[in-house]
Amino acid sequence: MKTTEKRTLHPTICPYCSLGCGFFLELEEGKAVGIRYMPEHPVNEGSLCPKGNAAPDILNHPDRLKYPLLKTENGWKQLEWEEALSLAAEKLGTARKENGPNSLAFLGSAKCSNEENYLFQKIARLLGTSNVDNCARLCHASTLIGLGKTLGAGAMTNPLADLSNSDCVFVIGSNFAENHPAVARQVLRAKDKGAFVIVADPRLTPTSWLADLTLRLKPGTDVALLNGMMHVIVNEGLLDRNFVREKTEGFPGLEQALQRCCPETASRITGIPPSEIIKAARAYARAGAASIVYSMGITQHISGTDNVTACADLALLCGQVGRKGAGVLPLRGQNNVQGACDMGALAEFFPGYGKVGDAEAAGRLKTLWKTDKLPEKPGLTATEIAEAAGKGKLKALYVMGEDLVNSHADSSRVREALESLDFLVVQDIFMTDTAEYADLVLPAAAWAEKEGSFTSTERRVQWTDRALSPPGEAKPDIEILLLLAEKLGLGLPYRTAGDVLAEISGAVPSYGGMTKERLKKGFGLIWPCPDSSHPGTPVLHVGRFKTPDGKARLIPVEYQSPAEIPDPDYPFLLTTGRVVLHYNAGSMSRRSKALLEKEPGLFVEIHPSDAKAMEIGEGNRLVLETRRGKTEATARLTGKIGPGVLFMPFHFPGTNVLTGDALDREAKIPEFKVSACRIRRE
Amino acid sequence: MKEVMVRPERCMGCRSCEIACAVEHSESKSLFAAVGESPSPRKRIYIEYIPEHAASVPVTCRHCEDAPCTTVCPTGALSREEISRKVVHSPELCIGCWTCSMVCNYGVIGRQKEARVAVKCDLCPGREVPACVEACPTNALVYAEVKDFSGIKRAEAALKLARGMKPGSAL
Amino acid sequence: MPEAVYADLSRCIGCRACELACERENKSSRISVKVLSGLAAAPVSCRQCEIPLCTAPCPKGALSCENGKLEYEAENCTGCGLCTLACPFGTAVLRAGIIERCNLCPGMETPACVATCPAGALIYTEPGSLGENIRQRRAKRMNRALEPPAPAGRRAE
Repeated sequence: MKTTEKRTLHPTICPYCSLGCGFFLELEEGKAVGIRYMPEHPVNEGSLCPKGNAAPDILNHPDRLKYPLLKTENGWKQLEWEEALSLAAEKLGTARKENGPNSLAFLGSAKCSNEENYLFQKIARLLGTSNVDNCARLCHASTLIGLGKTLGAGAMTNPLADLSNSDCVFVIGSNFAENHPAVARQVLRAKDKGAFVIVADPRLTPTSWLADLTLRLKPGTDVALLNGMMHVIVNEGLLDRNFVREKTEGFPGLEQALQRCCPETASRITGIPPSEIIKAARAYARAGAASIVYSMGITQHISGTDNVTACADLALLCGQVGRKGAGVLPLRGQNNVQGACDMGALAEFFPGYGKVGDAEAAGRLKTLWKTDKLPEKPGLTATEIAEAAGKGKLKALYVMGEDLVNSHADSSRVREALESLDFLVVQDIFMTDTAEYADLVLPAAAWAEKEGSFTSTERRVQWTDRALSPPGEAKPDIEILLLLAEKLGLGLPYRTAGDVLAEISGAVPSYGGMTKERLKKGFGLIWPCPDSSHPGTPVLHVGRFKTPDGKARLIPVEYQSPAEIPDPDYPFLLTTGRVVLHYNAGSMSRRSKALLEKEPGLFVEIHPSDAKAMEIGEGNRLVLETRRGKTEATARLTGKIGPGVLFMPFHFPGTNVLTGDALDREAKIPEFKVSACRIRRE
Repeated sequence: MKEVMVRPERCMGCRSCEIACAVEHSESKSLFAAVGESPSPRKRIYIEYIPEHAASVPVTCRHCEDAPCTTVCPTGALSREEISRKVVHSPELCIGCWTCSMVCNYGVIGRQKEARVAVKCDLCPGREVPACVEACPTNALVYAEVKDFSGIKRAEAALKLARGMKPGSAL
Repeated sequence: MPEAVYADLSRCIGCRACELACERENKSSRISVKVLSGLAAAPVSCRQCEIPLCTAPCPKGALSCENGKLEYEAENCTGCGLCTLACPFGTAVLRAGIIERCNLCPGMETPACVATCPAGALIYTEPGSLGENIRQRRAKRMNRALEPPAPAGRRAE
């Protein structure tokens, strides 16, 4: 495939994960026909993972939604936009009038741009409800809370490229080699310079392949491991006393709490030999600059917030924050999940993380939005929205680009909940399993078919331009939202994404200096960027933390066992995760022929000794059952997981039928990572 | 078998071993004549300089017991000699696919550019002591069996300990 | 000196991005990643042998080699498949009547598989320079082993 005169190249940002990799889309006669690599991009340096390579498949896909659709008794009926939006506005209006604004709920999309999410939550809040959330609730809500209360900002502290400056990289609950493959090149670069890489994960993953030390802990015992390491660090005097004294508060409390957490105790809980816990602690604490990389293995637990807090404690104790090569790096999920949170598409936060209920934050927003009324109480979170719908407390739900039937835990209940709604609007690019439940489906534009800014996991805000037109009558989400707002009589004064960004820079302090023109230059800006001459802030917490007094907090946490542990009825521990060839609920990746060919269906990994005991062979169909439901999958025998543990990817319908909806008490994130499960051969 | 053992702490990076190796594997076996020879003689030992530590480390074929290069070679050009236990290369079988070079953990399989085949350490057949070892002025290279090499280091460690003790320090 | 696609096996994370990139550029993938039972993964593609075995049996000279550079002309290929028998790596594949093999993506600065590799495990280089990087890393590791361990409670700045 060669670039000829007819073909044009269009710079864009990958729509899959949160790394924000850049590449050129190759276009011919308005169609995406290929990819050219972008070696100058600072994040991926030209490389792309398999999903990125298959990204154009989404744009030309025959399954794309092309017209607004209304569910009738005789199936889907094609509507005109005018009609569709009037209907949506009318239904939302009626529900609001009859049952109050809190009978409405809005699910934003971490796949949509900052401008779209900003607009989305603004519409919800102007309608009088704070029932607006996004899928960050399911992946990194615990990061927002956990890092927020310790470091003062719930975001990655250092850019990805800075990993190459670390002398020790401690990876816990992250399989970046599969889920954020471009991170591997930075970690390998650090290794070339002599860095020591520790990977803590219950499974052996391709990430373990890069490790100098692998810690195979039992699922859900991360706090015990981290506390054990901190115990060693405090006991052997490996902590950075000056840093702890000058930059943090709460050390005496932490020190006291750690007394009980000797490596032997940690070893009993985690199953890792004490010597390895000691080795890991020494390597991390002695390194000149050390980074912690974590992901959903840490956050998706009922102790998610505690896990994150413990990670932050470990970093603070050793003074490994706020310097080159030293930081805490949560690798986020969706391409704009950081942005959707920054924009306030969260039940408890206004744009810029002002708390809902805080009079000052509300006051600022009231002036900016020229309104005198804003919701005073935090709304329902994504997980609570599904629950409330099931109980009949919600009448109407507006979902923008989210397949909650497959992405939420305990999906049978989610299905029931969606059925009990009076009115469900789904705005998406494909007919997802969630859209099947909708009364009204609105066809949206995919990433390269619209303009807007996206914030990657390293806080890099990048602008992408429209490269091609959406199929059929599909419209960019921002246009749909603006038309809807007009129908709702909200009268929002914007025409383009650029106009919305101009308001965002007033509403979100860390985006203060961002304009479309600045973002388009180079490779975007890394927030905080408070004013128009500010160059952006790659490393957070240099000198002072983002807390009011500038000091970080050391907060002791205690190990608590997962909500559901294996018992004689359900003897296996089921954990879930991702594989390299698919993405999240799979509505995009499962539609790529090239990806699906290589990973065609749902499988479950089982240890050979368990398989032998149950006479299960490679490729057998198994029925998996938890207290919430059952599903079928193909057995894969592998020693990469421990005995008694099962692993399933969550890219296919079925996995989340099994997972539980026990929630972390602070972040309200469900415990996707641990469920008790039983299996039998079909 | 005897191997070329390395004591990096003694290496001062003079590269005498590299030159001696290339000369030994030349047609004329003389430094002055070797320079103009074609095919140009190739060294099989490499001095790696590490700038951040200002240190030099000699790297050469370890003649691994379970040598990856012999496992992957599709034509049997690389093989292990049953008696001497050396990993040897037969250029006439080599197809220049460089799979050996991809799996060698030491990066010590080089390329003979005229013949387009691999070259590697052969421990200088016909010589009592390989040329690189003989040329090393600081004894950073030692031709010894692994067990004897440990013995040499042990003796030195004992000597160091003994130096720390003075007559009369017996309790 | 001819260049070819080589793999640093210590870096391959088995993500198969190379397969997808090749498939997109060439309709079918000429590189395949085998993930072995443990964690080791190995990408296999044409080794561009300097003294190739596949050229010898080719009856029409579709495959030829001059100065160590392997050339392939698809129009001369009769699809007899003798080269697939000769190739020790299984990288010459008979598809739709003719042989498909890696042609190093002519027209691109680096072959697509190399450009896309997230871990930097695929390298487009001359065979003679292959060992350099590994030697240097090995030397560093040996040198590091000689350093005295850091005393407890102190951090090297």
